[in-house]
Amino acid sequence: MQGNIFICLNRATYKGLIPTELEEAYSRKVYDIDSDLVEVLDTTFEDVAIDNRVKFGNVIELNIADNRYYVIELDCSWLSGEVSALLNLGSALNYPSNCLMTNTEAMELIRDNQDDQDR
Amino acid sequence: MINVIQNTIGSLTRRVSTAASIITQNLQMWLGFTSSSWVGGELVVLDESTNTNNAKLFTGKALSFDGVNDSVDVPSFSLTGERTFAIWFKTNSTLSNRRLFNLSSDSGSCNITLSNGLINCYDGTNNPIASTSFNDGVWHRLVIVMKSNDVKIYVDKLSQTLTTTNWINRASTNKQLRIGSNTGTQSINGYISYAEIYNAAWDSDDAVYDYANPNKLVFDNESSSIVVGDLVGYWALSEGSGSIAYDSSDGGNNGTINGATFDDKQPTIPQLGMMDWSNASGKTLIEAPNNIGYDILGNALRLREGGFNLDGSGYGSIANSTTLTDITNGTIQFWLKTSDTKFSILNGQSSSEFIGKTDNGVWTDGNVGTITAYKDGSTANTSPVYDGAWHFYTFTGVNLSTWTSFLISNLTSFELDCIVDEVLIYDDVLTATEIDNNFNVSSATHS
Repeated sequence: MQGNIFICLNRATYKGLIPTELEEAYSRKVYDIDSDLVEVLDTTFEDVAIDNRVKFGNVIELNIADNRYYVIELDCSWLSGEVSALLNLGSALNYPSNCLMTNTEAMELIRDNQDDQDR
Repeated sequence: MINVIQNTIGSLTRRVSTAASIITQNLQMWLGFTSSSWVGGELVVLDESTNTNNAKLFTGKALSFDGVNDSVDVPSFSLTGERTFAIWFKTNSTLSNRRLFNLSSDSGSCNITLSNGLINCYDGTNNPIASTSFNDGVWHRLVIVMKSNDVKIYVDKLSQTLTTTNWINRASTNKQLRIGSNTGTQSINGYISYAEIYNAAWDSDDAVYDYANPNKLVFDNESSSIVVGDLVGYWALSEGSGSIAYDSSDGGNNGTINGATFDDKQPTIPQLGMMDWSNASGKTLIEAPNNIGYDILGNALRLREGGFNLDGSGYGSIANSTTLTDITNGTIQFWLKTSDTKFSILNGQSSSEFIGKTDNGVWTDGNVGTITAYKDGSTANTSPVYDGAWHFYTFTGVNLSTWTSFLISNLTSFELDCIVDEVLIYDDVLTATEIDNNFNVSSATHS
């Protein structure tokens, strides 16, 4: 575990663009041969999950009440507004949609909602 | 190897000029670092004095899994017939279905799982389960031997009772192997190190040898039928950094580390500080694939050279003892080989408990009283030498009466990158002749 927070994203959010507060840390960027920044690309949470799989681990997909959810791990800061931006994603939504979680809470959510694969 | 003569008459006769042995009169601790041993379930270096000031070792490294989404993925692994899986693990998790190994097969599967600490295997049909749980938060060595129609499980060399045994060894041809997770989810919540797969079945003697010799591979045992060619996967998981779990088996099945992080200073598991990197079996432990002579991080192999090889992240710990804290005017000696310029050799937990510390080229100590330092015999010395060669240091006037713990190089920010050997503690001040004697006796093995 290299991140400090887990979030359970609904499908729309997972496929959608990340908040601006997360762009500096997680957006896909294009550099020229001199390592100068050329372009910041539109980046989805799905892109972030794929790009950071080695660093943070795998994406966990859950089916809960016929809805698809994706649990991903991130390293986010309060100081730069990243955590607040993630909290806002879940505003007025029901658990577990876009809900921030600790490591223990993530384990419990997955345990309760993922079929045991083989034995 | 150093010969020993026990002096028994008194301090006058202790003063020998031509002795061919380390002086043992007044000797309260002698860590020779010749090998590691199991004492009370702990991996230690034995005190070779008449006391039991053994040093517990904390130089193991392991991967930590978060119980959620961490894994080590080996994309293409093949295995047929009889097999043995071996791994060190530590967990206190009550989670179910947490894979130690998850090998996809051409049909069925080959899984080894922890469920609330219970070890079980699954071949797609059969599910033998051990009856004892091992989620007790301490390190365990698990060996699972899969023969046709038969599975045997050993934990810490002891055979475990299984509920069923009707095992099928499924063939795997270029299939995904995961360590610490099943499909990349539901990872174990705990630590893993030294994962090995053999394409042969160990017997009970192999399991016993493996546990008794954590710094060796099972085929180092001449009486074993297991040979080096049977080792088809060996992920030490002791790299300490990076995202690649190197396969040291010649199989080339390096794994990708997803999310899991390294933790150092681990006890019990194979101790890197005592590892004989170039062992006699012909398979150098954790060598760089295709780059013999270098370790998996691209560094020159850290040879033990008969000492305790620290890389700055591990240490030894000696339990508090009156045989040490009674010392008010004693002597400490040790061999040291380093290019590091900032370190502590022997320290406790407080700022007043260290001897042999330097970060500015000059020996310092937190000792009450006056310490005199010597190098390579009885030559007075105020600073260590950072030339990468062995040197013998002596400190007299040592007062350990207020120390609350005894650690070999575990002072924060002063952890030592070195090889240290022959750590001697006396409860008396050695004379110049005696200092020279101990230097001369052990010089031949530190040249």
